[in-house]
Amino acid sequence: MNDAFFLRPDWAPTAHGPAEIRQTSGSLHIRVHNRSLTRVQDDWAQSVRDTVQVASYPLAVWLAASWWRLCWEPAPERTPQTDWCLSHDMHGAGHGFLWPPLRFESDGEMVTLVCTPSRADSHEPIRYLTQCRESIPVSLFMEGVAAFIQTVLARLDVVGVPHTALHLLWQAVTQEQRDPRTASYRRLEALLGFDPDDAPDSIAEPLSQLSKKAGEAAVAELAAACARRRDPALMWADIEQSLGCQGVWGTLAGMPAVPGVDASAPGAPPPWERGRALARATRTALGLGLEPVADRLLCDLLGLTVRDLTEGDAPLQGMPWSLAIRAVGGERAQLLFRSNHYHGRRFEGARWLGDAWSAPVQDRWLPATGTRMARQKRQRAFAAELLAPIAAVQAYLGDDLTDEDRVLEAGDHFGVSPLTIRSQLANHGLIVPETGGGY
Amino acid sequence: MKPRRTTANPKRKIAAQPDSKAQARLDELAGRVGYGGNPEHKRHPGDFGLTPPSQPRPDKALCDDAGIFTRLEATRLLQAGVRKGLISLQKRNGWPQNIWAVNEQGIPFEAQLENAEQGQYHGYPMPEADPLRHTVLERWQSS
Repeated sequence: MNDAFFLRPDWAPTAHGPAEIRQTSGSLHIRVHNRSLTRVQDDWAQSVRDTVQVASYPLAVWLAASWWRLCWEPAPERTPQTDWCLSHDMHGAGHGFLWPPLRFESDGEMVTLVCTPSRADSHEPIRYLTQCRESIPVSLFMEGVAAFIQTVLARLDVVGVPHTALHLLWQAVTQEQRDPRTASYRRLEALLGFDPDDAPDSIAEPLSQLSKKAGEAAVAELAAACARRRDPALMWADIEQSLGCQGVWGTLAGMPAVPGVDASAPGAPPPWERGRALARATRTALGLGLEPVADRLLCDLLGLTVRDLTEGDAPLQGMPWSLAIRAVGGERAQLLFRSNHYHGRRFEGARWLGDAWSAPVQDRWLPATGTRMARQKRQRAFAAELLAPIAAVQAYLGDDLTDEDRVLEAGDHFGVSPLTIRSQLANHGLIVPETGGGY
Repeated sequence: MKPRRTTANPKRKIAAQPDSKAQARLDELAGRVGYGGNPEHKRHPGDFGLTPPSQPRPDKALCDDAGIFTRLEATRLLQAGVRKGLISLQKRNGWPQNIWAVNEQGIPFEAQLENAEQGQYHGYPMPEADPLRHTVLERWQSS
């Protein structure tokens, strides 16, 4: 059994409802990293327990039906819509049970389990007590969920309730996982924010085709960014417009040779830590101490003139991404800025440099988006630490970490926005984040 | 080739707001749905005539807490939900898998199909954290 994350039922059949509900009733214990996510205060029994009395069947159905979105779809940049919540909040399982207030957010590398305690003024007879935010690799999440579903299926088989909707649904999921092309398509659908079979051909098919030119991993990043558009027609419109834009020619080969961390290695640090480490190594290799990265140096790394960097066009203004497009067989790249602002353009350039270092070789397109995908977290962390290293920001601000004027001055000094300064401070735990925080 | 499943998506989805053509079908359906009940959602037996009369479980939403104590009240609510078109897209044997309604106290309910031959349902107040809860309230108020 996967000790990092498991859902463990204990059977105690009930007398009411359909057979699949009755026979999979009993207690359920959910844990992640030794935290019980089913710890409740039971007002009736006036006690606290680590299990809840539910039927595992509807939960297994929900997990199987939401499988692709749970494993791959990130949390949205803004407040999640109902459809996203129905696929990511355990209460989406319905059937009148008081499920744990547990939300699953993937970034493509890790799944974060966000557990919120019940409100103190809740009138419900049980109150969930655990508050936590724990992340596990996607592989361990899949393992834990699959083991639970298989346990429920085994139970149904033993008690003579075969051929349920869960059997058929799980069979479909496992078949899809075994075929790389189908799995890739399902993942793309999930990133776009659709349930299986719901993504219209008008967006899913062209994106699949684009992956041959732009790279599969790059298209996954675009798909996640497209999901902010509710209308599939608008989703493809953003990409079509991007395809027709011309950027400024530069290079992404200017980065010095520095060691990196294999993201796939067991126990690899989270993406933002890898981004920060790469940025620090880069600054060291460039001979930088606490001083800002001058425009001239950044332009040398990007193969641009200072005018191109600071005052050039922003062909992707209004789009959900900026793009660097690597030329075939060479070191040149077309750089398509999104921002018209000096600070924003420096940040975009830095993000592309960090992404070029670690992106798959097959990715010709290097998108910088606003999503919560792991790759974007790494990019943002890299750019922030390259341009405004936290040690230098702290040294500059001294004790005035929250003085707005000082933050503005720090932004000007390092050539980044005040938001980047505040984010650096918040992400290093030096100030309270204004919003959800994190890269 | 695009993959295509043969299994239905079990995710709860409320059907679109009905037009005048659909209303006649909904009114007819409302006359046919029935309320069975589940003792696990009841602290007090009421007049539901269940066996056992009640068998409340703390880990289930309870009708009592939302002021539903009689079969007549439950049935009226069920029928009102159908008439307002708050039925699920998913169907079993022609019956909506779920029906939603809001009582006079403003508490949203969900009903689950329990007998797909007779169109019998059992219901419960929607848990506070159910993502569909506010959607049901909005649709109820706008219809």
